[in-house]
Amino acid sequence: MYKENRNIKTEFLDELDRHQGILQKICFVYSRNSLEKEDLCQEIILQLWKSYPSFKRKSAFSTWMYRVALNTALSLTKKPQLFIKTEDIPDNSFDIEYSMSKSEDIKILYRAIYQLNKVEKAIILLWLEDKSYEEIAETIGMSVKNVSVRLVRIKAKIKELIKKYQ
Amino acid sequence: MEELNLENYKSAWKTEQSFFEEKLSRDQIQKFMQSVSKNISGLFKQSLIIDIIIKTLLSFSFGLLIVLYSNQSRIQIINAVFIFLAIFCIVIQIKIYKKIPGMKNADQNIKTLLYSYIDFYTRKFVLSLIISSFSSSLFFISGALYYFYFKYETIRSFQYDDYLVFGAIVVIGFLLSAFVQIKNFKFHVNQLENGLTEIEQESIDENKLKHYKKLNNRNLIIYSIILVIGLLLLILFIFKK
Repeated sequence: MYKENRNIKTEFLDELDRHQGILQKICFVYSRNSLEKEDLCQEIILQLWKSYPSFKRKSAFSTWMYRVALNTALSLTKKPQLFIKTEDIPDNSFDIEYSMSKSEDIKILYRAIYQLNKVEKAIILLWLEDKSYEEIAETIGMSVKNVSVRLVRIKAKIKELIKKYQ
Repeated sequence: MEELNLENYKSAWKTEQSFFEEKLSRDQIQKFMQSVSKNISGLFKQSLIIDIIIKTLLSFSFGLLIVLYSNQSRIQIINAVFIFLAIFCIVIQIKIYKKIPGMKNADQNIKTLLYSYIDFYTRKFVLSLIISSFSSSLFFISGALYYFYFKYETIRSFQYDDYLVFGAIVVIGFLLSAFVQIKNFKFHVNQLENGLTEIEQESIDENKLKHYKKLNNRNLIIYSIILVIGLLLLILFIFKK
């Protein structure tokens, strides 16, 4: 039993290691600063590990990982204002230093994506990752038609924002 | 003016090296794997565990009161009733704990997951919050019984204004605790509802959310009325000569 658990853990760590890019991208998009990013990474890894036994390998690990990670990012709630320290950064701003290590295009793209709501972020993120409309629809729980309509609007919004930040 | 091509940004996104270079170490990952969840289901669990611990301690406290009031059978029966009540609440809380939407469903689609959290909160967790608020009333009653024992070695007889003061403290304690907890969880659940609204924008069923809100309010009112009446009857039962 112990040996079996150890094997599952090693297998999980290997898979996660191979797909850390997905984790980094999702955490980057849904955070305002490094501290938030670390918290989100922690929560996503925890949820991935807890739900790993139910991963039936009907889909690729990366597909499953996207689902669990996005579910975690979207269902993570903020604490009530009463418990937020005054030094915390307000909702409508982000740490400029946060995206400094990225290329110029990614910095601009991040600023644009940052203005979207959580669901729009998920849709555009999956589009950036080359997922099909069907996959996006299935991950979010929308119809394919709705995804295509929403994507057109989100892209238009992003284009406007990018022009503004360029 | 040249049309902005998003495909260029898509390519930049896919080839951005920093996403692959900023790796977490295995030690860090293993540390995260053992951490405590901060999501809504983690908050539900945390709140239930705290209440189960408090009610267990209260059961022991009432158990000790049975021993202290050893020669007063009526008070012993009252304390036994409280132990039974606390255990009954613990059983309900454990049942609710087992129904928290778990990680078995973590890979379902986002909409279904959000619905399951909101559904759980509306149908099951509101009852748990009411039961949890009952702890503050039990805590006060237990404290009062200790006070009476050490001061008079029995429960002194009550006048009508005593009933009023005692009853008011018990009810206010319950309502205040319920208000704070419901407000806190509602704050989190509202964020999930906003997520659902973002998904369902223009397409689906606003009615479903309205239905949950209605159900939530109805459950809250029913449970609160039952508990307040129950508490008042209890006070009458304890202190009536």
